[in-house]
Amino acid sequence: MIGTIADIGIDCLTATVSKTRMTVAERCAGLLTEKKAARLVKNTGFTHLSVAAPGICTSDFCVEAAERLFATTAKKEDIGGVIFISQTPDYPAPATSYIIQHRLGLSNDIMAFDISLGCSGFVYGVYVAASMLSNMQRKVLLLVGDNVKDFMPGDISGRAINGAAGAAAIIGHRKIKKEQNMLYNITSYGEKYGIIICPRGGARNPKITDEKGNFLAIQDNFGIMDGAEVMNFSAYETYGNVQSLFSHFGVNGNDLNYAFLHQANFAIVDALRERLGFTPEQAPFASDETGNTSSASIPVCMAEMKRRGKYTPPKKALLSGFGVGMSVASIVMDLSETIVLETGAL
Amino acid sequence: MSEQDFIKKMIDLMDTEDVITMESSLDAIDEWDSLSIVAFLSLCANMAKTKVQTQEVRNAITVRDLYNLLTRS
Repeated sequence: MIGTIADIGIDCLTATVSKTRMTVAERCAGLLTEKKAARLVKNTGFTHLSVAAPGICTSDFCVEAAERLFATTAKKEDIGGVIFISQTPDYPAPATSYIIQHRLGLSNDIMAFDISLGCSGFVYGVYVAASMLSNMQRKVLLLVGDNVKDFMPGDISGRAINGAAGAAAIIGHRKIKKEQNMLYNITSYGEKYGIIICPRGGARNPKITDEKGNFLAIQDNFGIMDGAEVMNFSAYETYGNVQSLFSHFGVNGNDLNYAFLHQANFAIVDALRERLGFTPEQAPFASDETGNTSSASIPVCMAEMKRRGKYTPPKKALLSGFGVGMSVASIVMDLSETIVLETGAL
Repeated sequence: MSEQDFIKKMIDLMDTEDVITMESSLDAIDEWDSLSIVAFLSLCANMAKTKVQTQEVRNAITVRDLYNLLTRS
């Protein structure tokens, strides 16, 4: 689905990661040879992973990020909506957005809801917030992130790439020229839902337990990801989504200051970047010290670049998230007025 | 890509110290694992004329099978 949204911008954003960073070898201690750990780092580009302290949830990272926005550039009384996008909510019910509304001391005169999405979540959130603002005079607080804690014992596939993070962004009205309108393309591939899935623990299939009710250490009780299919999905469906967006609106990739691609891992970002014809400077990989932070990865990339003194506010940027669903969401927008705060730690 | 260049590319991609030929069995190469499959698919995405499916890579038996996937028209 392709379209445009006028007169909306991201006022400010930032991301928060864990104070605790582990190397892949530390995170997967006892599960990897030294050589395999080195090969993993070479392929994924993740020298360190953000690992949340016990008891810290995704929402805690998001609240820390939002508090920094409110302490420096945003006003709580301007917020009319809170959206929390994650697959690691505080509770199965109620929605975490309500707990965050309360923790941040936001007004009761507000709407709040959660969306279940992973790596496409931030771009989806910008679209949903922008759509809500067409009939709302205030601003939307968008919170995204994930903190996957449970991995199959002995399995490294998730453990070696997942990083914990939360991000906060405030989306608001802005008078802009027509050529600065947001251009979006959102596409869904439900037929590929099995590529990344937690098959048990929802209403369809309970977790498998022993006779005493203890969860068994079998792969179906944990997340499953087909990494090879994710690579091909990125290289073909994500590529196709962005190409359609560009050709529909006559966007020339060379004119983009940045292409912020979901930081799945270095191999995927690099393959997609090359296919789309972007230079490494245009399509940065800045998650080397955090890991794949799911829906937070685009804000993490921007905040990490800011922290490293490498971020220049872009007049025209592509934001493209892709993953679980399977889902792709891409937006071309002006971020020259967006205030980016450097990464925080919790 | 010539066969010689392909072998060099695969040694680099898998980061293996084994002696590799076009007839090498993939099963016998320790480093032909999920990491290498993803790296090979990445190579295909940017070099192959046709889309290489993951199952085609998993079905490959020798290094030559991979070469044929990468270079088919």
